[in-house]
Amino acid sequence: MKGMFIKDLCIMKLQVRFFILIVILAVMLAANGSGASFFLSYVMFVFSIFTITTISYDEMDNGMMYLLTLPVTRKQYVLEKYLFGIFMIGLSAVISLLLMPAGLMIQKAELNMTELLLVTAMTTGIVLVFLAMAFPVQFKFGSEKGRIMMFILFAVIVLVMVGAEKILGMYGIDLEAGLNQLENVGAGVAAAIPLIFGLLAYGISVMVSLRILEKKEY
Amino acid sequence: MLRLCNVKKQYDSFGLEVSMEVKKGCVTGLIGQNGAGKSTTFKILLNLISFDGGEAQILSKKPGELTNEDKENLGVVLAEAGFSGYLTIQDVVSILGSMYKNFDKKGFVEKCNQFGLPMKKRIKEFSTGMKAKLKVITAMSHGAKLLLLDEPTAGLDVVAREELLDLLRDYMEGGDCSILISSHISTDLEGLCDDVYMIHEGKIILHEETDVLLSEYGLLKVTKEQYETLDKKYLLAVRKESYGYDCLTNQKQFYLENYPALTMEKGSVDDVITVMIRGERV
Repeated sequence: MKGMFIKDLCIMKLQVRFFILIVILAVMLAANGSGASFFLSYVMFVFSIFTITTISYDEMDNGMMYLLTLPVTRKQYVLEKYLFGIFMIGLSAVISLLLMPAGLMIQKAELNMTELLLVTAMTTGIVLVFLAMAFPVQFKFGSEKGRIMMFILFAVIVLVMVGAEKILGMYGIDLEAGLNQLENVGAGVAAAIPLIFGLLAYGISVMVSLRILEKKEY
Repeated sequence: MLRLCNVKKQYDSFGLEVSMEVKKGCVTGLIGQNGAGKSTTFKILLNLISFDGGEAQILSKKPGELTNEDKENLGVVLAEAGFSGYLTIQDVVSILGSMYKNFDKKGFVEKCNQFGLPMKKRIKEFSTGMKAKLKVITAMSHGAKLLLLDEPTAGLDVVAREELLDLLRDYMEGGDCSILISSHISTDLEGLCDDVYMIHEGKIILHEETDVLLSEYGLLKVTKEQYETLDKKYLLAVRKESYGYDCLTNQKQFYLENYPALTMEKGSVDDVITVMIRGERV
């Protein structure tokens, strides 16, 4: 598993310039008044999507087949990807939290640490859910078809959400008001909910991916 | 080291059914045309695909039961797969170093230098020959007991092929290891293998020791009239030619003694394959 992690770091090394560019861009945008939350979500999303990209790198030129002949089990391969995902989320969160105060200072805005951590927790949750959906799709369909499947998946999710809101609305339940209520439960709980939800999705996703890869024929 | 017993794999348009064995200390060749089932056989052995029937054993275990420790005893070259082209040999060194307990870093780097493989260049920028050499050097870098080499010489020129085969010969001198090597270029296998299996349309059509094949197999070239009177007891296959028939025998001596007037060519793997595949079996 360590070998696979090193491999992903080697591939990441290739993209270092791209990552630096993204961070600089995000700092500039944040300094320009786009707000701290945008900066954070942007960096975290770009970094974590890279985990999915590493699978494409692995699959290129039948590479996956070869990797599985090395001393790595299919299970370890899957677990390593999920760990790498967490690593990337952690890395991007740390980078953001270190740089954001600088961005805010340029903007001469006040630094609200509670809000910052809350946004980090929210984004982490969303990114976790995103990866939880993207991993199995990528493992099942490969990078080419996977991309199309992700679009379809997102379209379906948006439709379901809009539909659910409409239906709830018909019964007189206002989702937005409900979400606003969340702000009153205190920062700690508000931060914990998306995190727990994200981790739960991530956990289920691991099991699905394991099953997919166990059965995959090369 | 490795045994397949009536192993079956059925695809929509292709079926495989093979039995074969690689003994300890032996180099066994698997030869066949493109699409004959060579890569499928390797994939079954490496648990990359499942199989529908029969028994497969590798390092005394079923392919699906191989642990990481077992896999450290395997050195693998796959025909169309390797490390991501975006990596460099330097990266490969760190990856292999953390995967194999017995990774011989010094030997690996030395061999790469010997073959002029640049350490810091991306693998995708390598020539076909350089990529092939890297794959074989990688397979031999961690003291594997069994090498599974699927088309390691594909796409190489004569000189590069010889260099690769020399590497394999050196490896065999090192000790108690075995090799299963596939190729569609028969001369590769003649000089290296102890025995060869010929595979055609998913089936093994011949298994013979290389020495026997080269010394006792022969190709009789006869006219139609000569063919009529020929004792066909020891013929394996016959192919119609413009001048009459090419007859493949595994008892060259019998025909040399009884029909001294006939033209007899020394057997080569190529002859055997073409007559076995394109001719009619007797």
